[in-house]
This record gives sequence, C-alpha cells and structure tokens, in this order.
Amino acid sequence: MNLLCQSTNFAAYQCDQRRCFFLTHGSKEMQLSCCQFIALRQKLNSLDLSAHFDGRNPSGIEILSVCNRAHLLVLDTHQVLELKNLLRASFGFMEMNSMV
Amino acid sequence: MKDLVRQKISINIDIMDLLNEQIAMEADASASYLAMASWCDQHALTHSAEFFYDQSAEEREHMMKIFRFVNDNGGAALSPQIGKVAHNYSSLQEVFELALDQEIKVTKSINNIIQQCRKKADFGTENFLQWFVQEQLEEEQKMRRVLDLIELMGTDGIALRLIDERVKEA
Ligand SMILES: [Fe+2]
Ligand SMILES: [Fe+2]
Repeated sequence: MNLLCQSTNFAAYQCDQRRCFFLTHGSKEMQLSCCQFIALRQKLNSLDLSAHFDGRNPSGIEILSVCNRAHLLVLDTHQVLELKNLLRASFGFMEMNSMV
Repeated sequence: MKDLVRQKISINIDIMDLLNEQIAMEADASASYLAMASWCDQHALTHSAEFFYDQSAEEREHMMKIFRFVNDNGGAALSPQIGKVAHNYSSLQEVFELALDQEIKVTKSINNIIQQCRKKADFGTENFLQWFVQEQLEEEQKMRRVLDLIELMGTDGIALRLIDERVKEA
C-alpha cells in the first residue's frame, strides 16, 4: 500500500496489488476503483463553494456519494477544502511518479 | 508504485478538466445559436435562421466529438449544464457580431488547451485538437463574411433581404 497524501481528517492510498485506491476518513475506509477516484476528484472540483458564503447554502454542508453511492460523505466547508486539497496533492504525486 | 491512473486514462488529468470545460462551451454555443435561429425566424430572415440552425447542430457535433474522445480514452466526460441564453437582439448585425465574438472565444479556448497540452506533453490530445484549429478558422471566416456584407450594403429596406439571401452561401 502506497500513501499518496495525508491530512488532518483524510488519507489516500494506492494499492498496487488490488489495483485500487483507499480513502480513509477517521475510522471509515472506502475502497475506490480508478474511475471512482477520478469521479470523486471531479465531484469535488465541481462543488460551488461560494454558495457556502453568499446564503445559497447557509449550512455549508455538502453531501457526496462515493463509489456509485456505496458511501456517503457529509462534509462541512473546511472538510471539502481539505479533501479537495488531498485529491489535488494525490494526483500531483501520481503525476510526478509517472515522470520518473 | 504502479501508475494506475495512466494505465486507465491516456489523457492528462488536468487536460481532461479543460476538455470538459470545452464540452460545456460547445453546448453553450449550440444553445445560443438556437436562440439566434429563433430570432431570425421571428424576423422573417429565413436563410439566416437556417444558417443558425445548422450552426447549432454543428456545435453539438463538436461537443460530441470531444465527449467521445474523453470517454474513448478512459476519461470521464461530464454532460454539461447550459447557462442562461440571450434571446433579444437589436439587429441582424448584432446577431452576427455576437456569433463572431463567440467563435473567437472558442478559438482562444482551443488554443489555450493546446498550449497546456504542450506543457503537459499530452501530444495525443494536441493532435486531436488540430482539427478544431482548422474548424475555428473556417467558422470565424463565415461570420466575418456576413459582417463584411452588412457593412458594405447596409441593412435598410431591401438590403436586409438581399443579405439574408446571401447568408445561404456563407
Ligand atoms: Fe464549436
Ligand atoms: Fe463554432
């Protein structure tokens, strides 16, 4: 298992043997296929965070379904940013890895 | 460490994001040409209306071309949301000016993606986009020809009808 990136609440791993990714959130562990990992990245990037600040989403809560709805993530603004950064760093790390 | 993402998808992941933005842009263009067609129809400019119906269909083809390219290469194409479309124009000249502006915006966007492709060494996508470079030159040219005609002939009285006739050949 290769650690891609770790933050306060989340961590992302790549498992070469099983050809998949793992995302942990506290004690929760989610297994994602490559497609699902890419889809999660897109989902996070398409969230409209400005809605958290201009009254359109006053609770600032986002509910994300992961792995074709096998898991649900309920995230506040900070956690969305944290997870977004985690995925950006993970994909950045993989891009670096592919260059060597 | 294995390169699982690269094994899955042949397009650079950041380039894929740009291609998804381009898909949305082509969809927007298709929708706004449809609005222009409707305006022309309402003003009895039949040939111009026909011209914009065709343009609208073409933009959807562009969208699908990119959509399939993304998915065929292992990426995830996103079905775009279409923003608000303007339906009010003051004249046929304004319609064609807006159409030209829109084409220029698309050209710039395509050029930007190609620039990013070079940075990321995604030559497959660059090669795919070359078709769009040529296409954009032709599309800009089409709009410009009609605008030149409007400038030359004006749009008073019969001139507007004559221009509408000529749009057929644009
Ligand atoms: Fe187009
Ligand atoms: Fe076009």
